[in-house]
Amino acid sequence: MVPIIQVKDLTYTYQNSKVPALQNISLTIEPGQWVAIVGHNGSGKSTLAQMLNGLIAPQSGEVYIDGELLTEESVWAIRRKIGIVFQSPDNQFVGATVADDVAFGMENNGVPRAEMIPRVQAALEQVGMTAYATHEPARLSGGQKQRVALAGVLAQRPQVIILDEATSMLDPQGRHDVVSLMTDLRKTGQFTIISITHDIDEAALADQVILMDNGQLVTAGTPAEIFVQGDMLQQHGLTVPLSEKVRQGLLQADVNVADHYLDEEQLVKNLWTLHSNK
Amino acid sequence: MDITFKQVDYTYQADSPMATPGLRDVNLHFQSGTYNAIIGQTGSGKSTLLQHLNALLIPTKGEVVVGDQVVTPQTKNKELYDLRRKVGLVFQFPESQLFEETVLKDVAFAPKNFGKTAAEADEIARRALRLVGIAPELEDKMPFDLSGGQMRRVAIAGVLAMEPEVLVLDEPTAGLDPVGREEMMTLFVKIQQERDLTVILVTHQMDDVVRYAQQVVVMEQGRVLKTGQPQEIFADIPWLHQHNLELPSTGRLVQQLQQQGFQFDQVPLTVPDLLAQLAPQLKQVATHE
Amino acid sequence: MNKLIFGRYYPGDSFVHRLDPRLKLILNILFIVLIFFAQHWPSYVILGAVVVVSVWASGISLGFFLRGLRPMLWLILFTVGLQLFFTSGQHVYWQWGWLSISREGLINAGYIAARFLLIIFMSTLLTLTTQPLEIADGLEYLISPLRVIKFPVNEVALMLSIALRFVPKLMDETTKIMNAQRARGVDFNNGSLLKRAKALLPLLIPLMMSSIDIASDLTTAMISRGYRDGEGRTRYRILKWQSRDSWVLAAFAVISTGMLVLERMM
Repeated sequence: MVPIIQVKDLTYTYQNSKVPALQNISLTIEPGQWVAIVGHNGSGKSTLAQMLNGLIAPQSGEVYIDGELLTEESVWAIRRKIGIVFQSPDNQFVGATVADDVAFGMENNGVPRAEMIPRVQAALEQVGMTAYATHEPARLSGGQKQRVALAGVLAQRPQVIILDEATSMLDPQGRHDVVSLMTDLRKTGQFTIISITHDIDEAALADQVILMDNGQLVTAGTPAEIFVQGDMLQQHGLTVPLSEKVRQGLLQADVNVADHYLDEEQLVKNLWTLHSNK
Repeated sequence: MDITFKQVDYTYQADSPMATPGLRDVNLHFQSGTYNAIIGQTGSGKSTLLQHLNALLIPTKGEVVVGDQVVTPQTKNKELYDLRRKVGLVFQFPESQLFEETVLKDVAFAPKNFGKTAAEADEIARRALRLVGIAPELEDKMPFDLSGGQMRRVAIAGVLAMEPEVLVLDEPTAGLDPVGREEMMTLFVKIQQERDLTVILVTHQMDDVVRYAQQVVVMEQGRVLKTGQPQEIFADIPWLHQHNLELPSTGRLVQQLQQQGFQFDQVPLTVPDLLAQLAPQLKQVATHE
Repeated sequence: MNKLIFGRYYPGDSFVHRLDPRLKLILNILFIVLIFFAQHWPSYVILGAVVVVSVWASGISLGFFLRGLRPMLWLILFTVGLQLFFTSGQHVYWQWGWLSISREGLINAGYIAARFLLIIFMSTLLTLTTQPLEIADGLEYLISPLRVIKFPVNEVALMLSIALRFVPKLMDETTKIMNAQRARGVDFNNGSLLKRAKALLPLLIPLMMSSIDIASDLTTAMISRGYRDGEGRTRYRILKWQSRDSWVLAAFAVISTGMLVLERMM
């Protein structure tokens, strides 16, 4: 299988900056995976995301999307394969109404109008915003705007969806809505999802977690592999998931809890066996 | 400085066909020197309430008493000058209010407005900057050249430079990463202790509420739904769900544990609390084996 | 500012609201041209009737228009006054130094006032019954022939529509920053003119910074969504010319021909 994303030895330093934002990053992502790239603000994770669709050109290294090398010639074709939802709900809303905004990407790619109409409808339905099709952005909540942004991405039928801190400016309700949409999208199996986040609970939903700091890739693995290393997470400016905090705490209190990472549901089950045996 | 709300109503665009209620029959008391939290969904009236604290909004009915000043619908803008100085308001994303050429000038802006001389204002500004942890080397930089976290600290220093007696914080950690959030919250505790302030925090981060607040105010549709200590507010999980309120991060896990059959005398609101109540229910297993 | 209704949209679903924005734009232009052909009072009666019927068909009360006129009143009075005092004529009724009121002056002033009112009413009707976005769409169609001379029609239209889309956001931002600076002791409403002008700086600079942020974010988002330039783009939003639009246009043609014939005869 051709990896959907392959990054080789990527390095980048911003103008006016002495330290590189990215240093020798190499990674491979298989199609259909949900990958969380985590790290504190300024760790380089958003720079990496912007390199995947050529918003920033690498100073050295290569990016392959679906087997194709990202170059000046291929960049527009590659942008069609990658949809990005950005952090600020307001500043990515181009259209004057919800439906117009969803159509914007298709307009750019010259999709005929007759085809656009059903695709806009379908995308809005998928994110549950059909009732708002003719609304203006000023009257939507942050969470609703992000759902519209996601609909705009879906309407373009990309292979990769990147959520670049897409939930970080939302209230709990908005965040919940976007995250549950992401889990729905994963179930369709049609997309590779890359979520860039410092929310550890969001990262816990991924198949793979990539931890970044100082523009370098610190470690990568399944959430279970990464989350047991609580000290390391904290050292790199992240929090430890609650279930892991509790498990560690119980271990220290000499409770015979499992010796590996458990999500909340597993933890409750594990603790109940210890309780019932009393 | 005590703050009291007495039967406060506020209507947006009153006397027009577009009139919408913002606050309805709000009665509250914030005691001097305490740490208070206001929680509630987006649109529940938190921001409207907040803007009454330093009279950016004036009640349509009722009165707000801030220290010894009474604000009623008849109060004139000119009378509020002193009050504005005593209540420092840190808005969401406060870094967006920076405008001066240097960090120091920006922080000295408020004291100058409130009648200090340039030299006094600079002195006050320096103290405020040290308090929020901005080094002297950064004083002459353009505020816009700083990192996001530093800009926010400078903006907060700009409010502290008014030497307020009450500090009002509207989601001060929005957009920060976990470490940034933690540092910011510890900073506020430090400021409160050093300057003996009354703190009023608006937030969605229930863990911070549990950790820091002495009094919690729950808002819903412009009304005060409930006030109490964190323990009282967060004890009733079904009630919180019913009003679409978030739980502290332990909440969901505690709920799952309860459903599984674990018993807690008091709903644990923090991890140490949870461990203390959970471990005894399990411990014997480890020792028996 | 709130009293100025020119440029604001009045939500509704009247006959006028539903007309094609292109038609409304064209009629507005034609109407203004027509006004300058009107030299005799019967023409003004006809034009006045057109305005009254249009306002009636829009379902918006005449009082709303009149109230909206108030902020423009000084401009009108000034121009009318100018005509009144400075038109030289044979039948002088009153004179004081170089100021004089003549019969011609009175007539001229009357016509100027009438023209003003007619134009203001018609263009206010356009903006009250047409959403800004529709106006932008209509304009794009109307200027599209300019493409021949390499005028970037699509870009200008998109620019206009994005600018309109960010007006409410910038209004919010303005309120937010004003509040933040008021809390830091800025007084936007009192003091001398100079003091007030100075108070604008703490508002304008943050506003500019946040506009730059918005622009940069928006550019990134637009490029990511495949925006290159106007070429090769398709359109989701289109305007549909209905038969009622043709009827209105025909009616207007008949009325204006009638008026022009009448002008000739007099």
